[in-house]
Amino acid sequence: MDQIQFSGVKKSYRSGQTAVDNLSFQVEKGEIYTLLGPSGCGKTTTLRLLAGFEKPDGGQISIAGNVMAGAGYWVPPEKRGVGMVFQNYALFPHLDVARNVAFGLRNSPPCVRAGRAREFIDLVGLSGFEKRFPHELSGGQQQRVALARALCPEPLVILLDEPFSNLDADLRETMRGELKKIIRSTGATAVLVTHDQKDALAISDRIMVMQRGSIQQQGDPRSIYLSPANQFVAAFIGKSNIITGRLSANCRFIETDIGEIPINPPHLKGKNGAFRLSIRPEGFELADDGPITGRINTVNYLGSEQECLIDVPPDTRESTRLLVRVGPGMDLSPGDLVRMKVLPCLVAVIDKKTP
Amino acid sequence: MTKENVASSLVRPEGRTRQRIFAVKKIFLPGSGPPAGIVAASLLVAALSAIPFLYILLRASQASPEIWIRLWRSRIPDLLVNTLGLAVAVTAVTVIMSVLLSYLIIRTDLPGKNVMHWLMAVPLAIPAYIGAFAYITFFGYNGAAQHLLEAVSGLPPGAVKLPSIYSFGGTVLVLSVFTFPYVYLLAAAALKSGGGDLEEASLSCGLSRWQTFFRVTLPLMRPSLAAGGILVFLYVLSDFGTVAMLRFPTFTSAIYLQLTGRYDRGTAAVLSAVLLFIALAVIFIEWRWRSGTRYHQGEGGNRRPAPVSLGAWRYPAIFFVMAVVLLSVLAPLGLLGFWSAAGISGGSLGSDFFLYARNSLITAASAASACMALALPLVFLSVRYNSRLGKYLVNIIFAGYALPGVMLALGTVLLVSSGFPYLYGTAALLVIAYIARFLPQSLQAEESALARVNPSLEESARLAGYSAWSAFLRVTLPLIRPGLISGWTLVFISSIKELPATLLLRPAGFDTLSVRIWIEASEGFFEQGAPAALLLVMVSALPLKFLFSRDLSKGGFRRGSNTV
Repeated sequence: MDQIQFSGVKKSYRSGQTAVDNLSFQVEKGEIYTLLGPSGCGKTTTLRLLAGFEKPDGGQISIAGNVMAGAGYWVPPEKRGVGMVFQNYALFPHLDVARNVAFGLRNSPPCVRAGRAREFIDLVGLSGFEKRFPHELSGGQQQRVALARALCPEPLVILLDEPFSNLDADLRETMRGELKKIIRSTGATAVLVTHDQKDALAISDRIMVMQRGSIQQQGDPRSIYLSPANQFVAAFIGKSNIITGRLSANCRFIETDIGEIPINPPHLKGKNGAFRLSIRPEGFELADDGPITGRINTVNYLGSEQECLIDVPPDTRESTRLLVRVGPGMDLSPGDLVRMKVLPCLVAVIDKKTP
Repeated sequence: MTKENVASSLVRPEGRTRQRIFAVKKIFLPGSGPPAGIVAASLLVAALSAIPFLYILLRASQASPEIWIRLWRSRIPDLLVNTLGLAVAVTAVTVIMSVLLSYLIIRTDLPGKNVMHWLMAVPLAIPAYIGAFAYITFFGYNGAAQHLLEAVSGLPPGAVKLPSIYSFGGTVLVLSVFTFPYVYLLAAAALKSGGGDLEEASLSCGLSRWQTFFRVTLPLMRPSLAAGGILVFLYVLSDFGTVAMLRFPTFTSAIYLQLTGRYDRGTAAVLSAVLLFIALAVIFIEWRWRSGTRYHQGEGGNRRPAPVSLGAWRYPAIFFVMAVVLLSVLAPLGLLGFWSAAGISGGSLGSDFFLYARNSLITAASAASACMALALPLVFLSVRYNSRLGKYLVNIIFAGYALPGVMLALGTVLLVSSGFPYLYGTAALLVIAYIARFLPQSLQAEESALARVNPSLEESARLAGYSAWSAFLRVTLPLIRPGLISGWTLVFISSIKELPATLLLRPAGFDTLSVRIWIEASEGFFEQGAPAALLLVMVSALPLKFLFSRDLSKGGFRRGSNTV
């Protein structure tokens, strides 16, 4: 059964601007679900609607089958069984680590409380820090405390608001794996908000990409990256070449200015007209027998890879400039003539171009 | 002692450490100490402020043991109970008021809360003794309330008695409604500066609004409440005008009585010494507490939380806030306005009034100008030369600043009458007392101004060929001018309001506005005193504009307390 259900949820700011527009989605039990989008896309509002810090203007929100908001119901935040890790962690500065973690256990007897707090402090790897105060901890440690505090009352759902934004790059990568492991070990359903596609791809079971208060695409990280549903998703998650073309007669190629692009699977059977394609920079492979010829304009050497801008076809005014990712070993310079082929799995038909 | 003294003396230390960004050692001449002239001038200025207090201690120690024994058996126990009881009661009332007011105004959907927030600072412009004067005109023996009651009820005079304003309860009421803004403004700043995320975190941990208030909001407000509470406590210890007008015997009024009624300087010195120890104990506790651990708010999280919906509680909430506004702003200003109108139409704005106003103006302006100049060497010594001596001197002056004004006046009387009798009874002595009393205000203003001027500006002027002196005149002085002006204004306003030092040190027949208010209040000629009181309130209201435009917008009452 769906642990979280949003159906037709609407929310406007006081200024009249729409924050969330007719939003419907489900999150399954035990899933790590990420709301991804640029700032102002409504993802934080969605999270706060779920936590109960905002009231929806319309629609219905349910957690574990119980209506939390809508249809005449309103459950205040403290009664929702939802834990939250705030962006700035919001640790209580007047309480030490142990008492911060035990904060949500007010209904348990003191001995139980201490034991459970210790258990969760252990879980996040902070044993020995029980008596420290929040300001005596590093950013990563503060985040672990916030996580332990949110998980300690065993909430049905745990919400994480931009969990990595206050960490530096190295710590960020460690904490991604760490966070995923901890959440999994408790079996909680997690909803996470981020504007960083790398965080989202690395940690999520499923991702929902949002823009201007509505859903652009939902799916697992692989399908979001490999087959973006529209231009916004293609451009927001990683980089992409957007190319327009026409379906070939046998429905296996799109005919474009740079040549015939194979599509896989050929799911457009029976349709015709112009289509827009997204080809990831990794979707091109330099090959001497490749059907596409181009001239290198720029080489940007990044160490683990090199990003080349290649003009196809070469030496004409109407050439298309493609972003192509190449392995680090190849010796390329601007002006070189190269041949390449397209890998169908990194090509996605994003929409039908309006004529 | 005026309210602002206590406020800025105590809120100062934090502001200093923050502002001391540009204190670099030995700026002008590497390898040499500060010029001897600056050191000498600083020592002299510090002596002026500190010696009266030291002299009181000397005189108290010289008093015969019989006086000490007699006083410990008779007066001191009662005075201790009265003074400490009053201070504790007023502190408790103001803290509870401020918790309720700040939560209602900052965190809930109370109607008109922005206007209310502004109104909560207005009582700062009403010196408590002028507030007491206003209350006496209504509730006093000859006041309007009694007449009103008799007129409405039709009973003969004296048949019903209102509860007297000349009582413990009346004094607590008057002091509370005019001092609570110290606590309120700090509490409101604490509530504004975050904690919204913490409340949401608490709710998401399953605690109700009430539990969140007691377990998160209130503990987070505690440092601000303690800081504000100590300001109020010290204020009550120092207050002379209010308790004297309401005839509630405390140390300050007893000291005054010994000096003016009985001319018993030995007794006055002994009582002062006891009060000095109480005040120092409070200052010491405050200092210890401040240097202990403090809460560290996390960065970010400045998003204001959604206001708490009051629901049916809104009606009692509005009633409570309106009652505070009525008691602390509307009633006193209305009464002063009423009696002023009556007085002005009765001709109380005669030549006498302008003579008093001129006396006030001249003494206060002289003191303000002198302070502006005298603070400079000290400020340079402590900020620019980063001198240890300079910092000690500044700290000594600030410690004396939290002590009651009555004591400074007493120390000056004792010192002058034994050492410099020709100064006694001159307006110059009054100005000297104001300087000694209010120098810290200009010190603080100039210190923060100078600390913001990067010494590299002076250094580049030196490299461009200017002498130290002309670099000061052409670069530093124009840059610290706003600090000089705000310091001048503060000293001017404090001096014009000062009551006990003026009463004790003025030449015979030299009446100022504050002295007239005192005399008319004690004789019941309210319409004579009201115009002077209203004028003082208007002058005192000037810095409120700074307070709001600068400090509250940044959520910090402490940061710019030098503007009060």
